[in-house]
Amino acid sequence: MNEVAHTITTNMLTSFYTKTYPQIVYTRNINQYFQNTYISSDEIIIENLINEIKKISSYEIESYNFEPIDDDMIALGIKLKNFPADKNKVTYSIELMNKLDEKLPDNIDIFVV
Amino acid sequence: MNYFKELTYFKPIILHELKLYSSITDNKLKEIYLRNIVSRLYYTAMHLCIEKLNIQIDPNERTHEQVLNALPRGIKQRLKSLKKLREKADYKNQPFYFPLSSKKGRTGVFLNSAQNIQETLEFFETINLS
Repeated sequence: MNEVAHTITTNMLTSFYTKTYPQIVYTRNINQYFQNTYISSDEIIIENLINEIKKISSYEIESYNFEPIDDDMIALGIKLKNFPADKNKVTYSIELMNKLDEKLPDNIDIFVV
Repeated sequence: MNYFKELTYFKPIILHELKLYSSITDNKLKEIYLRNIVSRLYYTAMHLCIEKLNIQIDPNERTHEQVLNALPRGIKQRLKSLKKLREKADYKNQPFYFPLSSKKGRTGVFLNSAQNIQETLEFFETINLS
């Protein structure tokens, strides 16, 4: 693909994905999707999950990130605001997972960090 | 003499080495301590799970897989992650320091501090699997 064609295609696709997935486009460089030849739906799933966690967590979510940890698993790391220093993060992670129950996709595990 | 599969055998070693890890400044030594700590942590967690699950391990099958398969989801993933880190600690000739991630991880959500190691130990100590 020549440079002009690439730019036009990229602009068209950027426009399409900005309309379709506005919540993810602002966080990622759209070219990354094409260079890696995948369009990630993970961001959308994670965002929905974060909204669910917000409903059940006793602590506000300060930040989060996610990463593939296995061939089929994703770890969602969440940092919680004012999480008590004497409270066990591992235990609270499991507590959140239990509360989420079927709302938690099978391939995602939560880690309070 | 303590039986090596009992928590009381490894826990003091982990806690002692964690203290040493935090006090020393030599990076090479720190790495050696951390490898030991992670390896002991995994075996402690695994034996605690066997004890709490109260399962009979079939000697003809792979022990680690049997334990993992008997665990509920979130706990299974944590033990699995620890297992991978333990393999890294004992076999891989690559830098080993905080934050630790498993095979593909980048941001170290599993074990990211000495405090996190202690929390993981306490977690496996207190979980109820019966």
